Amino acid sequence: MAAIKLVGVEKSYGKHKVLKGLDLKVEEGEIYGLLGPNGVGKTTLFQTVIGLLQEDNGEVIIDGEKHSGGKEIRKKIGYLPSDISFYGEMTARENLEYFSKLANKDPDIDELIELVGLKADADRSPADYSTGMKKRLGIAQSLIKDPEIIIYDEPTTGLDPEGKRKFRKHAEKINREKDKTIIISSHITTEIEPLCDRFGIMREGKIVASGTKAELSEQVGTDLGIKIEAENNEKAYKTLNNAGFNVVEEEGEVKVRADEDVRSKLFNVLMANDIEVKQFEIEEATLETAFMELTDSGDYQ
Amino acid sequence: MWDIARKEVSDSFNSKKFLLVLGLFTLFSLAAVWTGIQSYERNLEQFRNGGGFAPEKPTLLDVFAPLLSFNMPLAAGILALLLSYDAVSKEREEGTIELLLSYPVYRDEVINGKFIANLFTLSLALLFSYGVTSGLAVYMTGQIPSINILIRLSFIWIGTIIYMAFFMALGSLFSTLFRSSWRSLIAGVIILLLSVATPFIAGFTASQIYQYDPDTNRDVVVQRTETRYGNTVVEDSNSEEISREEVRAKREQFKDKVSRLSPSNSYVNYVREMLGTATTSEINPTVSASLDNAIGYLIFLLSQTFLMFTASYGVFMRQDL
Repeated sequence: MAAIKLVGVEKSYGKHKVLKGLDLKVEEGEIYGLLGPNGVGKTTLFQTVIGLLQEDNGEVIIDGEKHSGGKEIRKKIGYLPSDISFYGEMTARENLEYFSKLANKDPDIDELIELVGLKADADRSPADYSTGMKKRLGIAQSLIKDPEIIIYDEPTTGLDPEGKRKFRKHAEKINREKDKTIIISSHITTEIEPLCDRFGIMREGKIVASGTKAELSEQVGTDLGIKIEAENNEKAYKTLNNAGFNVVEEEGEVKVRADEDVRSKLFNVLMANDIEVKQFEIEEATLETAFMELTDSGDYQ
Repeated sequence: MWDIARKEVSDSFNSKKFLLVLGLFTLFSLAAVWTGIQSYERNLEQFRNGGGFAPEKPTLLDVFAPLLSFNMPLAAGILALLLSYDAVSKEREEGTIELLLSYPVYRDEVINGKFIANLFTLSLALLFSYGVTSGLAVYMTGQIPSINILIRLSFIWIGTIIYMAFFMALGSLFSTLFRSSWRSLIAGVIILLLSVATPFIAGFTASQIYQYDPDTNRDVVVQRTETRYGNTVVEDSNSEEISREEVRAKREQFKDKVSRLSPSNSYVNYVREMLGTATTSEINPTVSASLDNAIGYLIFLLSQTFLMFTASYGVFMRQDL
């Protein structure tokens, strides 16, 4: 059964429509990566799922039940917002205790603090914390409800490489050991690519592609890319184009895309036409290339 | 809701801002009571000397009259606003509202919890201020308050809390409407000042609308008397007085109707009835007679507070945060 299913969800802020008939399905027990450029509506989508926002149209179905943002749904979903903030008047420990009362749960606060490596700083105010420490406290907070589904909105933003690595390790652990369904959003594909089972690529308020990394690459036909720098790029481009290759000219280089390994055929064509190749590079299909193709966005790192 | 309320109460009492404001409020009250004590002592001396404007022996209520009738409408309103102007906007500004509402709490539990907490805090703050000022009054006058006075002051305390609750609800409303806490506070203070000034504004407006024009308003009875030098016209001065009285009545009616919109006006009238100093009251009314006269103002104040809270509640429940 799908843990989360969205059907035709629309949401506007005044005249600005953010979600435009969005469909999404996240299976129980998987780690799902939601990719999209900044401002595409990822946070709005999450806030609609957990009931912070009321959708204008469409359906949000959690665990097979259609919901309207009520209390019951928020018992099932743990949430780490992208800009996590805590109450500065309380210590980190007191913050977790407060949220435990709101959730009507009695988790082992010390265990949660230990899990995220904040034992030494638990009795300090989160107002004094670094970004990374706040994120870690946020991760601890997201587990208070012992939820079935956890949503992490841009969890690695502001973390150093070690912090990112630790986050990935933590997410894998709770998915594997506690069978939690996890949804992670990011605009940086490489940060979540190793972690997720499936991905959804968001563009202009909709999911434009969804599937495993291989399925997404197949969708955009980017299994293999060959970049060539020839003695005469223009001649190389025309020759390969006439020979039926899928070729584009980019930034002074000739790029060939193919669904299969065409290296041998390609170089034979070039040699037959006396076109000297100065340099070439093979690009394996990556999630990033699929993301770039599908979002047509320059906003990536 | 009670977890939210407990947290808010704790935040208030640990907040330097609130403690500073409470300190200033108490000092302000002490200063007003000190003025009342001076007035009390003057009236007492005049009473003993058998002259002046003090036919009756002054009581402890006279000590509190300046504070409660004149200063409290503004001071209490400001204290209430300072506690509530950032109820929602602060959580938005600091980014905690998103996390808070991602938990299984209904929105109305959030706003109700904050309101209850603020009401509790204000009640304690007022009680503290009452205690300090009463202590000063008793010490300086040597008067032990009678049951009559204690009952009146208790009812005034209740009325003051209801009055403060109005401005608390107003603060919460603006805190939800405005993205910035400062804008919320400024808007609240403007409404408070307008509320306090309403009777004066209404009075001025009434005097502009209903003006006494001798040529059109009077119903003149002319008596002609023949004299050696010709006719003499004698006008009936009684009719002129009656007409002036009619204009005055219209002005009062207008002023009264417009002033009813002001919670500060309802509060002041309620307090004056409970103090027994209202011009419409009999001299030295009993507690029950004062209550009879005051209850209407209290109910009116209560309904205004309820309406304001409903507005605040409705906006918070519907708003995309």
